[in-house]
Formats: sequence, structure tokens, C-alpha cells
Amino acid sequence: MILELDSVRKSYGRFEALAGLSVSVAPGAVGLLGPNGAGKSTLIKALLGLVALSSGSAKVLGLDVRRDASAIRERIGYMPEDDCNLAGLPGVQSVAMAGELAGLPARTALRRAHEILDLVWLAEERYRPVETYSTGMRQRIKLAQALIHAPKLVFLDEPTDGLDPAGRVRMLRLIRSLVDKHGLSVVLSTHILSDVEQICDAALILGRGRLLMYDTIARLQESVEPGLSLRSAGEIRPLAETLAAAGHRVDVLSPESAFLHGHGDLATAVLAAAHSSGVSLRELAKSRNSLEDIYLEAVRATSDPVPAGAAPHSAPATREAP
Amino acid sequence: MPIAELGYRPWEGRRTGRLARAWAIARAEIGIAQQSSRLLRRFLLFAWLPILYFCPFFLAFGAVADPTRDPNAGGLLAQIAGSLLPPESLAKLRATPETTLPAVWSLAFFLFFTYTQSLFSMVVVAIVGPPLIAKDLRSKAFLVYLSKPIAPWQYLLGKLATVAFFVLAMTLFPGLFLYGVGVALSPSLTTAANTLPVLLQVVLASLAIALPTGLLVLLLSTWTKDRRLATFTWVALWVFGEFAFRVLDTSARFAPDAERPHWAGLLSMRELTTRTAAGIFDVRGSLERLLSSLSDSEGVFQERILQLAAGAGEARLVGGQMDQAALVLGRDGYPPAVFMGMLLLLSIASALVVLRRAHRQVRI
Repeated sequence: MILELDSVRKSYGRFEALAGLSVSVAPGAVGLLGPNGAGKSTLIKALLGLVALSSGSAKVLGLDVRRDASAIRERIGYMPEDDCNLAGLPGVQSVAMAGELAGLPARTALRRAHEILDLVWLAEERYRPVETYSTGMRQRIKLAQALIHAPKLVFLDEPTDGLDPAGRVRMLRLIRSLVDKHGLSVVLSTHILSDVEQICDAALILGRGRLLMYDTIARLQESVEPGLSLRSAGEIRPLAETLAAAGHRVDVLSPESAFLHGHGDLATAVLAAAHSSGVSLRELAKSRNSLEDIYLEAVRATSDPVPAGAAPHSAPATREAP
Repeated sequence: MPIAELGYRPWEGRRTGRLARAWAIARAEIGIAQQSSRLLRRFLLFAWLPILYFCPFFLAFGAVADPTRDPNAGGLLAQIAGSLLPPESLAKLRATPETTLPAVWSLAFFLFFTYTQSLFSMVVVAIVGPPLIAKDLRSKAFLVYLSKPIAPWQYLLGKLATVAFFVLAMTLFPGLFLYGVGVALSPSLTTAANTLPVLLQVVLASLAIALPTGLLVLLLSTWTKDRRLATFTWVALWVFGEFAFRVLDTSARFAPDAERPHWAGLLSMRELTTRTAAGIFDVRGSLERLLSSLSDSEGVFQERILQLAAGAGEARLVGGQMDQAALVLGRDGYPPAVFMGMLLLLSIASALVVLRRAHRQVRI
């Protein structure tokens, strides 16, 4: 297991950033998902040993975050979301210094810095001061700084932020190749669900500091119920109530969107209900079993849903590795 | 793809120790400071200029104190001897160099440190220190540092070593050079043995300037993302502290000792470092030894020594009004230990605040 969390809590005053999180995460590429304030960044910082846990225990690569924070940071890489850099240094020295900070001898760090900069396509810009780098280049140098000391596990916080489409594809391929070819494990924290869908083996979804879901992407996709996504021009509740009265199971996701569960020709029933309830439909789409659907369903439980019909799917509090 | 591209390669080697990681921070910062400031490079050269003044002093003093030479033989040696000491004191010096030499050397190095090098150091600290943490706050580099196996104390040590390096380049390195020159120009090899404690004093005085000023400037650098603001605060601290001390000290100069605001000296960073250096170089003991062994009947030597002592806070005016006042050897204000303690307290407080703020940075 790369991560073993047992009833992990972290409070900032009255605010509970992590509320009793228990999960064991298997090696590979794992997507860490959740809305803003779900506790993703706090979890990463807690696992790095940068913030102290209020209670519970956590292990990273088998090492306790309380006792072995320094040893953990020697074995893991962290690419922060924030635009942070070692100002005043050229790219290659900035990466080499990150290596030296992780305990690499100076000559080794410099040699590896050159290699890693080749890997992240910054070979031509290695002698430019990092302050002059573009947003995309800064993302890549942050990845280089996370990889320089050959970590076993890398936390990547929004790695494709600010990258152009081609750069994003290259970045995702590189991350996947680190997992496939070099046996690294990756925890990818992002809001771009398609990135997770594309390169991750599993997804861990947090909401309000709680574990909402953890499973392999394939199993999560299988778990999505068939049905139709509905979006209206105005209030959708009359339509949802009409459908529910007709015996359909409907979840109202927002004042203007809902999900109709079921198989077969549901569109006819929806159109008839829309006509009778006077609701104008803007969108009617079949569920795609995408991670987005799963994610929306999972976070809906923690974001004040407006239920109509069946109760929303509830996630277990504790999950073992898939 | 470049032909030299090796791709990602794992690494399993022996990792460096904790101090090496702090030194990596210092090495990078020293390089950045040297490359980014022409003024700093110039000051590093200026710091050696006082050597040009002190080397001839040691040359002259070595010649004058040499018992094998006759200072009354006329020529340049006689002129130098006459300008340094009255004849009566000179004769006593040549008779007992082993007791007077270390005292003279201690005083010479005290002057070297307090009149020129500490002033140069403050300017250099103003150039090097303010951006050290301010730029990390601005660029959020804390996350890069502290996501690596680096503790906040290693980060602080690395930054402190950067300031200390430049201060030591202004104090310790020229001081050691000057000591070497003094020994080389001395009349006898026994001078090295007699003056060995001075070598230790040079090292201690250098550290006493470097570490507290370094920590204090890092504290100021921690409070702002704008290096100019930190620089301004550093300069203001020096200027206003010195100004306040001078005003308070001068206004109460002729007041009875019990009514004088001795605490005013603690407001001035210059006074803090000067009095601390006075303690390290044992200025009081050196002055007493010189007065007891080299005093002349006309009081010329005594007068010179007392003027020197006044600058080190080891002589004070007594006798009421200005026209009747006379300098006497005696402590003016608190003893050096108080100033040393104040510097130590300032250093510890600064270090704790910097560490606390470093912790807080990564928690946000």
C-alpha cells in the first residue's frame, strides 16, 4: 500500500478539514478528486508531514507521518499547485538544488537535473532564470523538482494547470509512463476529471473532509446506473415531480438539472412529462458512465441535494484498496 | 529528442547529511547575491582597504617593539616610535613586550572591528539579508524547500549562513589576514604564542557580529514580501537606534551616574556590537595592563589610552561641568555582558520568530 489512513482527522479551529478519513491506497496512478474545500490539499500536506494530524494515524509507503516525516519526504515527490519557484536561479540550478535539498550529492543532483529537464522538455531553457518561464514551463519545472531525487511516490497537484492542449497530453503521457515504465506511484489531485479518467488506475473522491468513494476507474464506471441527464431552462422540480408521480426514480441535482434512473425508452416519458408540467428542456442526454457522472453523484451527497424520488447513493466511510 | 536524452532514471545512492542540505541553500544564495549586486562585489573589496592602514601599524609597532633595534638611532623608525608612544612608555614596552604586546594587539583588532569592519558589515547585511526570505515568501518557495526533507531549522541555517558568509568576509577573513601579517612583521616568533588568544578573539568577535545581525535581518525579511521594505527597516533600525542612543546619552552626559539612562545603549545596534566586541577583546583588561605598565610621568600615554577607552565605553567623564570634567577609566553604563546578553536574546527571539513563520507558511 502506498497510503494507509486510519480515522485521520485534521481541524483548524472549528473547521474540520479531514473528518475521520480511513482508506488504503494501492500502488499505481490514483486520482484524488473533490470539490474546493474537500480536504485534498490538507490531506497531501498531512501526508508530507507539513501539517500535524489532529487525530488518527497515516502511513505513506509504510512510514508513519508523525514519526518519519523526513524519511517520507526523501521517498516522495511533491508538485504543488501554487506557482512556486526558487527565485534567482536558472532552471537547471533550481532543479539541482531541489535534488540537493532531498539529499543528492551536488554533482549527482546537477547531472540528474540535466536529465530530468530533458525529460520535461525544458532542455533549451535550462539556463534561463525560472522567473522568466511561462506558466506551462513553470508547471514542467515543478514536475522536474518533484522527480529529481527519484521518489517512489509523487503527489501531483493540478499538474496540467496552465498547459496548452498539446502540452497537457504530453504531460499526461509522461506521468503515465512514470507509472508504467518506472514503477512510480502517482497521486494526481485535480479538478480535470478527464485527466484522471485518462491516466489513473483508481480514483479517490473526497467531500468535506470525508471519503466519498475509492475504487478502480473501471469498477466505478461499471457502477454508474443507466439513465438520462436532464437540464431545464427554468426550475426543474415540476418535471421531476411529474416523473416521480409516474413511478420514475429521479434525483434533482440542482434547481435546473436532474437525473432520471432507468432503462429503455425514457425520452418519450420525459418529453411527455415536460409537456404536462410546462418545463422547457434544454438538455436530455444518456448517462455516459463517465467519471464526471460518478464524481457529481458522489459529491452531490455532500452538497445539499434537492431529492425527488429515491435517496442518493451513499458512499462507505472506509474503503480498502481495490 | 536530443541524442543525449537518457529519460527518467532511478537513483539509489547515499544521501547527504542534514548540514550539507543547509549548505546547499547557502551556496545557492551566496551565488545569487554575488551575481545580482555589483555594489556587494565592490564592498567585498572595500572591506580589505582598512588593511592598508593597519598593516603599516603592525609593521611600525613590530619595529618599535623590537629590542634589537635602537629607536633613538634617528630616521623613520625614530619618527614612528615618537608618534606611537612617549619615550618613557616606549622604553617600558621594549623591556616587557610579552605583557604589553597582546594588550596592544587586542586593542588594535578591537578598533579594526568596531570602527571599520562592523560598519562595512552592516551595509553588506543590508544588501544581502532583506531579500533572502522575502523573495521566498513572494515566490512561495517555502513549498519547494519544506516539501523536501528539510526542517525549518535547516532552512534558517542555510539563510543565516548566507548572511554570515558575507559578514565573515568583511570581518573574519581580513582579521585573520591582518593577524598573519602582524605575526609575520613581529620581531620575534614568540609574538605568535603571546598573541594566540587574540586569534580566538578575532573569531569570536566576527561571529558576534555575523550571527545576531544575520538573524535580525532574517527576521525583518520574514515580515514582508518586499525586499525594499525589509532593507528600509534594517537601515531605519540602525539609524534611529543610534540617533536615539546619541540623544539620550549626550543629554545626560554630565548627570550623576545613577541618573544616566544606561539602557539607551541597548537601543543602538552599533553600540550593542561595539560593547560586545569590547567584552570579547577584553578592552578593559588590556587598557588596565597598558596603563599599569606603560604610563609615563607626563601623562601623554594615559591621555591617549583614556580617549581610546571612552570609545569602547570603558572610560567616563567625571567632575560635574564640562570644563572641569575629566576622563577616568571606569565602566560607562552596563558591562559588556549585558550587551552580549541582549544580542543573544535578540538572536534567539529572531530565530524563533523566523522558524514559527516558516512553519506557518506551509500550513496555509
